[in-house]
Amino acid sequence: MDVYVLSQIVNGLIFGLIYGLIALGLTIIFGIMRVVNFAHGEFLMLGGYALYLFTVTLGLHPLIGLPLSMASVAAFGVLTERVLLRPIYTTRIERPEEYAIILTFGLSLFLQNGALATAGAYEYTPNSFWSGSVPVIGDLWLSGDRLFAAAMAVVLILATLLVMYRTWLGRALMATAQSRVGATVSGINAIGMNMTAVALAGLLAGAAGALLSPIFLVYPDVGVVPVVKAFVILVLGGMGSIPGAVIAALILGLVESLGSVYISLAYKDVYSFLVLIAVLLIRPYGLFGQKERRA
Amino acid sequence: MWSEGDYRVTAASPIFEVEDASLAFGGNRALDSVSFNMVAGELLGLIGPNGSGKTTLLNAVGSIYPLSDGKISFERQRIDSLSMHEVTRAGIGRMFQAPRIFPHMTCMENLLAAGFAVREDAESREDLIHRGEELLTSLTIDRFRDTVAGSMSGGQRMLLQFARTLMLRPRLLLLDEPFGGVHPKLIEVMLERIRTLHEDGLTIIMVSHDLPTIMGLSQRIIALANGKLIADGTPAEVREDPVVIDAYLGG
Repeated sequence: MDVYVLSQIVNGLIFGLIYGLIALGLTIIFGIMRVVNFAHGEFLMLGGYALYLFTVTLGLHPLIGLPLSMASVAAFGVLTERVLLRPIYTTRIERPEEYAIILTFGLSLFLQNGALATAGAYEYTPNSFWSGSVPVIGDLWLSGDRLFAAAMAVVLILATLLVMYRTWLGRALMATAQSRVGATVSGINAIGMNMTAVALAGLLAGAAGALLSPIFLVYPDVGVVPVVKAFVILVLGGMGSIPGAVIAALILGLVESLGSVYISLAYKDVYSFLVLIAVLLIRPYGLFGQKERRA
Repeated sequence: MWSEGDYRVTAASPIFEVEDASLAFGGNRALDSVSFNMVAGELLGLIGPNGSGKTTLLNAVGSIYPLSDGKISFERQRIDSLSMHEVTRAGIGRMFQAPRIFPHMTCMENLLAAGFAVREDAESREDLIHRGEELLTSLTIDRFRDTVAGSMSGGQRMLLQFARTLMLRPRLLLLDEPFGGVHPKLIEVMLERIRTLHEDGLTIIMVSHDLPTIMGLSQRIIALANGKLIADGTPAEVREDPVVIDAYLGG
């Protein structure tokens, strides 16, 4: 296998892992709150700007800047839930899903234009996590930032899976996702679970944004393309399925890079949709979506 | 004049009190100044024609719908302004007509989700699993311990929901049509369990359209019609009450 193909496969997997971070957060919010967060790309953007703020403006080490950026986006997510989304659950508004769609769409536009107005239409470069390149396999060299991003993504994805499947909190989140009323009559605070879900998604999106920013820089609409990919992953993996999101993210990353190698780079963003269409024709509930017995 | 019966009722202070509870959806008064008390260990049957407010009353107790007026207290604590999970943690277990189970979890995971939320400090995961196994066995669904709940039948889901509710160790149990769509054999299992719980002193409110069963099981019946309480007495009294007969036949 020549180095170019190998590098594309490795790059595809790295992108898949980052997509995974974004899609996991979307899936968790959707699963628990039934809200499709159209502002998720802007959570990512905020993560990038936060890393710039912490590493360049405040001069902190990037390894300190990363958790701070993640926490900042999580805090912003919690604020969003508390102020904008909670009325869906605590008051009896009609058509809560539509309300949430319009609201998160509006928030997305507001944040993009807010960034444009305050930071300007410039690209910001936060400090590198790991400058320089490293040999990976044979003649294949990768930038330190890409390797760091991939490694952190693996750690964060595994940590998320651990929380979801091995802790009481994860059980409570999943219970809430499967039956809100069932969860509350089991003593689980469903409103608290909403907040936890948004915080968790904020941590992951903040991490994705911060990890990508030294490589691709930060600008107001940096989150737009990645979040579209994450929506494809959400449907591909099966709406609300956590393992589905991770596996679909890796598949998407690989399909994009291999399509660029063997077909054409120009259609990079089209391949994911072709896969999506194919999967939906064969398994309309996605790769890991579950069909349920109707009793 | 003090009869022995009167003395007993006044001496046992009520554990559960509903006072002038009203609930309006727009102009429709789903509950209209409903008041009644229960003493500990009572098994109360709640009857009434469709749309009379039975489920709405249970939903008001569970804080699913906020009251427009009036108050509800349990163990001397106001519960009508608590949120839903706080009502559960206050000791009130609720079963729904359509079982609200967690479909992608196994039966045991369903029970653990509830068990963990209200566990006592000293209770380990093993204790909870052990208690869950006992409940599944007592409701004859122990063979489904590791079965994904969503693959079970409606009746089996109802039993699972029952087990999950009991996992909370409720001190007041609200049963909404627990026998609806359940196989007669499984109904026998549930009835047996309800009788045992009642003998053990659990306070229970049960809603059912199955009048022979509910009349046979309950010590006391209250009847609702159009959101109003129209009768409160022993099964024999309520069965003969002309207002109740009229509500059922005329409604």
